[in-house]
Amino acid sequence: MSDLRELLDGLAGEAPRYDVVPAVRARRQRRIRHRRIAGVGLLASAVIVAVGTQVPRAFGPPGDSPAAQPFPTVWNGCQAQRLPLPAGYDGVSAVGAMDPTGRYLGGGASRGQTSIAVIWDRGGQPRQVPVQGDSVGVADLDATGTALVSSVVDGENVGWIVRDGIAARLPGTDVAVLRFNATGQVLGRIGMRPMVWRDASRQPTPLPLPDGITQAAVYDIADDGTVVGTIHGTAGPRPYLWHPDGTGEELALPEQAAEPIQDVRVGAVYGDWITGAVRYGDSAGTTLLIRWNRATGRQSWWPARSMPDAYGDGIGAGADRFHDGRARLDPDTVHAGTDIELTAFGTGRTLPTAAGAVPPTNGPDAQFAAISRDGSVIGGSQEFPIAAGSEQTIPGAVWWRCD
Amino acid sequence: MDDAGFDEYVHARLGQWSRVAYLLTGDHHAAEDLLQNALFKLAVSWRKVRIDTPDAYVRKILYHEHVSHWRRSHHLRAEHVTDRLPERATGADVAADTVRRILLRQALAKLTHKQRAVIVLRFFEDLTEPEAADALGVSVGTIKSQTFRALARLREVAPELHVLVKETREVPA
Repeated sequence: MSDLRELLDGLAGEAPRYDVVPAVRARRQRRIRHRRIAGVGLLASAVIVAVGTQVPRAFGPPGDSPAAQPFPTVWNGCQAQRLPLPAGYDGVSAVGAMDPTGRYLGGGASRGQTSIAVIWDRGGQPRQVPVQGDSVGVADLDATGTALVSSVVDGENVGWIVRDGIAARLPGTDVAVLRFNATGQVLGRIGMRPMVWRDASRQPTPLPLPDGITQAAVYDIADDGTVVGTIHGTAGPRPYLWHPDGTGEELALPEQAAEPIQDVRVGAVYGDWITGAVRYGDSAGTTLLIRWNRATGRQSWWPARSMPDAYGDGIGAGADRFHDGRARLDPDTVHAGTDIELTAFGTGRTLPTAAGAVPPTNGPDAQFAAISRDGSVIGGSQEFPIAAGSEQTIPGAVWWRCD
Repeated sequence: MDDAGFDEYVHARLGQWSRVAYLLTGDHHAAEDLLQNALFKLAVSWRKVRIDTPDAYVRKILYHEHVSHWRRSHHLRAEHVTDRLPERATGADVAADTVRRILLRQALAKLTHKQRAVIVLRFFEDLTEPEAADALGVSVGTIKSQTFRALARLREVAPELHVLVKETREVPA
């Protein structure tokens, strides 16, 4: 720090926290009352139009190209549609995975006591994933339709890579597969230990944990082999990045926050961008959505209502525990009408529900499991009547497409 | 207010923006007014516009408000003496420290608002030249020339603050 900086710091130290919030709130209320009296109402659609036209690009980090803006534009026109199922599979179905482009969706379908894993191509009639074992699930997909799949064989958890209809078993026992990258490197666990299969035909390598850390969760692997996740120590959960050579570093959280951290999620890594969220243990449950640029070291964040369930490049999808976007409800008593939201870190869009979907009385309108890199395709499930006219509902696979 | 996240953001950043507002104005009442106006504008905009990074947005409002206020009431610009005690100063260096601050406060008051803004942006907020240019809505060249002139002016009006001479040499043209 230069001497001028020290001098300015010293002078700035004379400033207390100016308690202007009550005055700001009062002025805001007066303005709202005035506008209501004057009959001035803003249609939601008008607001959305304004979003797209009034925001200068200059708010992004200087020097970055428009394509590298920290928070991409959220999609406007989204449609929800129930996905088709194999003939006879009239039981529970859901989406669980998606390739980064949004073309391929993976999930499951059931009839009676039988369940199968399926892959949809552009939302068409799905094909069954041909792997051995029970409880087959699609963990991840790549842009060619190759799938990372899990199943249980003779009581043991097994991982597979299914390419062109041919399944290759990953080495290792008690394997849980999570994600894979475009070069075929697989991220997963052996037992509770995070592992990377740098070569799918060889034994995996454990991810080293920092000193004093006994627990870690991993979420995604970049095409260069970088892994993102969280570590858990005495200071609580922290976002963490493992470089391809096995060394690692914590991802910085917003320095302003002094509250204890309650929850951290690192959702995805795409190129230089890492997306995630943090929730603090204060009474308000302050939640921030964060986007890190691992090339520049810059970090951008935005206060949010809740942590997204699925993370794209800079857009997440989540079910919110708010009713009509206003009153906070107890998490255990989420009401029908709970917002389901596509959020681009600072702006949000409430997503539509699929035709025939029934809002549940004990949960959000939808469950989200996957989102494309650009946020234009989302996969999950909603509740549908088990039969026409029935009040009983079961989850059905749904996808949302936005443009 | 129902604006989700606004209160949390303000809670987290109020201290820092209070310090910036005080450095920009040199006066507690003016700083409070400036901050209140900036945060009111932020509150109004919170749900209506896409704000990529709230800090950048507040910074823009704050500095623009500061400069436009100056344009409207240049003749009102004056030196103020604080009636609040410094919160940090302790120990044996209090006297010297206080003198240096008074000198700096008086010297800053002799700058134009734009020069003062550049000093705060570059040397307190520690922004790069492109970031400072973005905050003020001017070119990087303007930031460079304003920084040069501001430091030269400080050196001229407060030769006692030798550090400013050194600082001038450190800033690339």
